[in-house]
Amino acid sequence: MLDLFIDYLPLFIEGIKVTLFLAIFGTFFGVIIGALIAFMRIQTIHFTDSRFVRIMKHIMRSVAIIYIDIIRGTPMIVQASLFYYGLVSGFMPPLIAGLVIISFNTAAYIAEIIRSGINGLDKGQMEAAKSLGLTEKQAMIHVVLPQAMKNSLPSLLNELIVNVKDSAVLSVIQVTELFYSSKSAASSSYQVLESYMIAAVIYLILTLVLSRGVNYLVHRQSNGGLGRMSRKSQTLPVSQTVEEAGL
Amino acid sequence: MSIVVEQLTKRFGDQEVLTGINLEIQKGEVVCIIGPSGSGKSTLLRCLNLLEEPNGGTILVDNENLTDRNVSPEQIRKHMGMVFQHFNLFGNLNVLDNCTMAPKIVNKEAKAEVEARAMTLLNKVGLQAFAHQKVDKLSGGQKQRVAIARALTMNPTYMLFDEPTSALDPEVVGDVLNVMRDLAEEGLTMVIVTHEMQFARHVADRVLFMDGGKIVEQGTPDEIFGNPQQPRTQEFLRRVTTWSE
Repeated sequence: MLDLFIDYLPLFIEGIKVTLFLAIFGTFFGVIIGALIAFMRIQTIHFTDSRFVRIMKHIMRSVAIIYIDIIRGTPMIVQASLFYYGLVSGFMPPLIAGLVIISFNTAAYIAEIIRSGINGLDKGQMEAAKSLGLTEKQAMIHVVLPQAMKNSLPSLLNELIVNVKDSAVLSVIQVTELFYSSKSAASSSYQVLESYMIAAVIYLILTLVLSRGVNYLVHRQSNGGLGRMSRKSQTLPVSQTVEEAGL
Repeated sequence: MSIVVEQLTKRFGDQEVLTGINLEIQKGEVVCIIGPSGSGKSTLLRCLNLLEEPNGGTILVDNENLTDRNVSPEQIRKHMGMVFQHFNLFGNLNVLDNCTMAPKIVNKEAKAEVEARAMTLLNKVGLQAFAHQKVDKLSGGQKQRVAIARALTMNPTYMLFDEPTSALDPEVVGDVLNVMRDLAEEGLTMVIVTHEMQFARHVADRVLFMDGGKIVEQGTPDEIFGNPQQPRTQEFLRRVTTWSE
């Protein structure tokens, strides 16, 4: 298996690079698009709104709901095939098409993550911002969203890990990511089991490294705000702390 | 310069929480609103800056009708500061930025100018040294004083206080009330919903007693606390002072 890996090293390295590229940039653009969709999704009609604003808000919310339903209700492999083979295969390279697909796909999930982050925030934050003369949009941008994003950070980083794995389906539109590389290695070497084993091991390493990194970040973040928790665990008997740590 | 409320009504579903409120507040006046929980005190206050939608009646602030759809609530709110029971400091900003954000965004003021003013105000509430601290590191009393400085940095004409000391430890209530007394003495127009009877007695120009969504009685502190006319006012004041006297 190691021989195979070394023989096809450039191919696998290319695959890893493309997979990480898709996961990282896909999640990055997904957060931007997702924040926008979440903003559209949470529009509520307020008594001070004019008729025009009411209609606009209604349209924005409907568009967001339909978008989220369609994206989450269909497999990404279907979305990718439809978009690439059905629409852009002549003029858009597979890698860019793949990035578009993964960004818009993950955006629907991220929109729901951000929405629950916004809904989970104390509504006094919005009221205080409004009481100072900020419009709802200004309050959202300067007060609510930064905090909602921070609270959503663990879930957003989890989405990055999901995208490392899910980008594999983009092999269907000839994106040369890791799974595509291992398929190529399998078909030219005839060592099918070994090729896919290598892919599995690399995916596992990538996701484990990322998830441990996420845990570290989340832990460090919560140590700032939740000093109480760590003090509490210090006072627990040793056996209980060990149990809590899952050892 | 005044706030004039006429026949204000507010319902939450079927429940009428304000029924035909009439009220006039002159510039420079300090008005304390007292009364039992659920009497509509906070709702009345929140209608004044349109955090709650009035169902009927009119509210005129400096001759602008708030219940008119053409008046934007932001225009009213930037002249009307509010201090909340639970402080509602912005968790993503430090103490100074909490104060400077709204003047910078709403009034497009220059950073240096706003920061200088905010520092003066933080100094006034005794928290200049905390300017660059995160707000979650502050105690309740400190948070509320920052919240007051934050509202004042907008240079408001009016200040609304919604039970500003109800969520505080007893020993820091005085710090906040002292700041508010100083503001009252400087001539700021203040509407204060409070359970601090001694404070209302000494600082208010006028005291309103509310019950069941109505203003039952109003007058000078001496009239309300010294010689209340309505049986409901007498009963309320007897009950709240039973333990302290």
